[in-house]
Amino acid sequence: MRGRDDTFLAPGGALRGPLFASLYRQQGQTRTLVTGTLIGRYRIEQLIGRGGNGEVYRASRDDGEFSHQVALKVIRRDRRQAERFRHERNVLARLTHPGIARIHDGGETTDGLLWYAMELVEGERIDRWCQRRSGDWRQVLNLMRVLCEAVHHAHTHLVVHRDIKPSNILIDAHGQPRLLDFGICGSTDGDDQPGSTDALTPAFASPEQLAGAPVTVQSDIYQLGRLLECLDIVGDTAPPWLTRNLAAVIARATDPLPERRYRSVAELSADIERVLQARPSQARRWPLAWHLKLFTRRHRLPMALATLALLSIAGIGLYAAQQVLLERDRAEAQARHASTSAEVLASLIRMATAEFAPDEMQRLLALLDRTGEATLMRLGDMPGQQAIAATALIRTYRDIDQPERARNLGQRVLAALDQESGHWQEARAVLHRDLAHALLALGDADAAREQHRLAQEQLRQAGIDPAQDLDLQTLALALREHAGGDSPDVARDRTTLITRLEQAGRQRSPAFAALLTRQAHDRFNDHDLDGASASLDRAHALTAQHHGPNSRQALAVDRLRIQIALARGGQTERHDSRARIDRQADTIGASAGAGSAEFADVLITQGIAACEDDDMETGVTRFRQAHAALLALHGEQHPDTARAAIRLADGLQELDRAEEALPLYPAAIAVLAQRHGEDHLPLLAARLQQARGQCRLGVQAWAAEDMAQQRQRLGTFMAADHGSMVAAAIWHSQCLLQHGRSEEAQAVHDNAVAPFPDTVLTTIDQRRLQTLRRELRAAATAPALRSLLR
Amino acid sequence: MDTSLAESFELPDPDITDASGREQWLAAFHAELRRLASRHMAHNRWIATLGTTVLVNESYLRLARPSSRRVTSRQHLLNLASCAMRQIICDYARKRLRERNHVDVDLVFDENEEEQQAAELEQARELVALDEALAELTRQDARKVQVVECRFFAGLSEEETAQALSCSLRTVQREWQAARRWLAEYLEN
Repeated sequence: MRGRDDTFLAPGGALRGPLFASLYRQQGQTRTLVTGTLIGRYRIEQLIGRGGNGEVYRASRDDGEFSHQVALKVIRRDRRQAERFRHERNVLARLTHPGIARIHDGGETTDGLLWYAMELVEGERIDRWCQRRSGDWRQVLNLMRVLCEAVHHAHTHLVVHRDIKPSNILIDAHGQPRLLDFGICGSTDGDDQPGSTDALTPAFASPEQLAGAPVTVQSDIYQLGRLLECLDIVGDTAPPWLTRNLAAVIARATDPLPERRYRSVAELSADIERVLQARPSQARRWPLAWHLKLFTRRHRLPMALATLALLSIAGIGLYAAQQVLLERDRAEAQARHASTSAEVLASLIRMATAEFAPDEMQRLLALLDRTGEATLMRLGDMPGQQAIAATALIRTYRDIDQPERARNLGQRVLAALDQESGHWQEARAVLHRDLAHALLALGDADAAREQHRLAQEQLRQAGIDPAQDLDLQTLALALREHAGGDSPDVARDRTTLITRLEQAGRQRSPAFAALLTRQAHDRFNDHDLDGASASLDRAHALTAQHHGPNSRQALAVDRLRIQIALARGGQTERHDSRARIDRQADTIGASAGAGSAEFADVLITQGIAACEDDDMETGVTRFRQAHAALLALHGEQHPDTARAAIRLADGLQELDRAEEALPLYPAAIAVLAQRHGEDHLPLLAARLQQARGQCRLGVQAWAAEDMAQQRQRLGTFMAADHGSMVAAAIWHSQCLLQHGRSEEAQAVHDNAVAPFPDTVLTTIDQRRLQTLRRELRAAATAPALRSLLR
Repeated sequence: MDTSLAESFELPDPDITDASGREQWLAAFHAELRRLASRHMAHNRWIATLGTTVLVNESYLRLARPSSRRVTSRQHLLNLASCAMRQIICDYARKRLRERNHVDVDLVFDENEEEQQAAELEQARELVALDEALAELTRQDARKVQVVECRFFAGLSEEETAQALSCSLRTVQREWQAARRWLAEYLEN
């Protein structure tokens, strides 16, 4: 209408178009019922929808003290539609299934309005619901099974729904699907009058419906298949075996020829169950290899362990075993890319453990322990093979966060090997190396360094240059990280090592993923957000693959991503990030428990997210919870506890509660100093914060000097324009000002704050800077004023 | 068709001025239209066909039956009806826009229905804008507005419009073009 073309204000234009049509459709037949109208015993509250053959209202029934809400459907009085409506009512009354919205009551008003009251389902459309949970295919498939049951129930009562589509399925607050709108359903005997296609949804109508042919249960099967298809269950993250299996099920359900589809919804449901259990669906014939592949998928743990036991006890040659594995599971990239036999084994076990529930973990540990014992017993017969099998076990222990077991086994195997006459230098080097990793994880850095030295020695004896052994380089780097913290040269060497590992084609190990994650941390700390994101993207898939999507490692990657989003963040990004981390907290709270180390990690990220979002109160609460959990879990001497204590204390300072914060620092600082030495970045930051609090409360006369010293040391690690350096200068300047040393304060501001843009600072520090500048101005003008007044 | 419908329906005085009388007449007129429309609907599911022809040739003429004793001229009827149509349609458009706020979009059960409603709301918005533009035009040139009411809202032909407004065919043509130009420009800004 807006254009100046010929159609603008065409004669009679107001009498055409959808609005005018609805004026007479609605007003000519049923007027929208007014709020408060009484229908049966129900009082109309609000129009909530218009269906193909009537309106649906929210209504409530008031029986004195008992009141409940219903969806009330009414229909205009047209003979054909009225019959259909009565039919629908009868049909629904016959069905009692949790997946089908129940009918409560029905009748006819004195002025001839037909109505029925059914359960009011308040929920979200299935497609939107699934979209929000993209990637969680298990949940969606389980949903489909419940839905199939509901449809099957209807079929056994001789009812075909005929209009199954996303808008007719709501997921209620408990996550249960509800099938609505049996408005056009007919009987299963298939003798419906053909040709009544007007109420169909073309995208979901089966070919026979579109053709106007009689409609049977096959049509519902078709629509369920279409639903399965459009829910797009198979995201990018779904494993290939799932994609293929599911595609076959969809193809069978939506076959254009009804007789080639599943014969019943029960059959379809059974096949969905098979997909869930990683069994071959019966939708088609699968080649034998596919059966085998899914078999190994299903029995990953027993299979891996059986193979391992086979190796260590029966002593089958490693090469042969590897061939067997490759043959059985070609598609598993891990095995294909593994460079040594031990790694093949380790990766197999890793895959088996990736998605384990805690109780299964206990079972797995018991099995691994037993296999370890068997390995040790057989060591005398076949030292080489047994050593490699032991290495696989040690690495597995390491991957599943059992460094103590890894250490014990490593030490016992090495001791046993020492009594052997053979050389086995390479095997020894590997054992020393893995033992060193285990020791490092247990915090015994000196013993780890000794093992590293022994590993180097063994390699040299075997005629191998240790510098060429990338695994050993990874260990060396880990040792330096442990000792020296985050110095720039460690970061540089890490990048070099990553490149070398890539060149050697070793970019698939969990160790590589860990390196990438560390690299992302480095880059994040350097404010290189794009670089950090790039590293994380690579680490993400790898970590999820090795350790499972809900593992500690994967969650750590995810948390760093959230921190990057927070740092980048506009308001919405921050909000999203907080929502994401809250979801993570729910997941972990449910799986690992509220007292677990994982949950403490999440609490800390929640705290950081809240702080970034300028919600310090929440931040401090989270840090406090995390600190309490870690204290109970590890005791005060653990570095994680110390780090949490420092976060909590820093947060308290931001809330001007230095008196609560100060007592937390000494113990935490002592733990970090003992573990990492004095040149550890978080340690320096903590000392700086401590001095800041002391200055604030005026409890330490030399707090300002302390801060000057800490700033200087911090300067050896970080560039002057780093956000933390500028923030430290602001604190220092404030401290000096508080002691009445305004000229020095001004100098610190001019030298270390003024030259750099505000953008390197967090919002809180930016505000603090404004305050500081105001105070500096006031301090500068005060003497002048005073002399003027004198 | 039975004649009682038209008999029960009386047109007001040609020179009716008081607001409540006009209101009453409008309500009666609308009720009559509704009855005619529903009768029509019994035979035809799709109301899209219920347009110009039906309204002018069936309802208007029926309304103008001599049995409605106070109807003095066909001219008077067309004039009043055109004005009434504008009011009915625009009031309805406003009501739909208001009502929209009370319908939970996520609970509309039918996808086609959702699209349908979106189209209806779009047309409602356009009509409300047009109604406001016509209010502005009334202040400048009331005759042009009457022409628009006859042609656009009531779907009268040029001849019928000329008859309703008691002016020449040439004037109707000229005023109609001018009104369209003015409205197009006004609505564009």
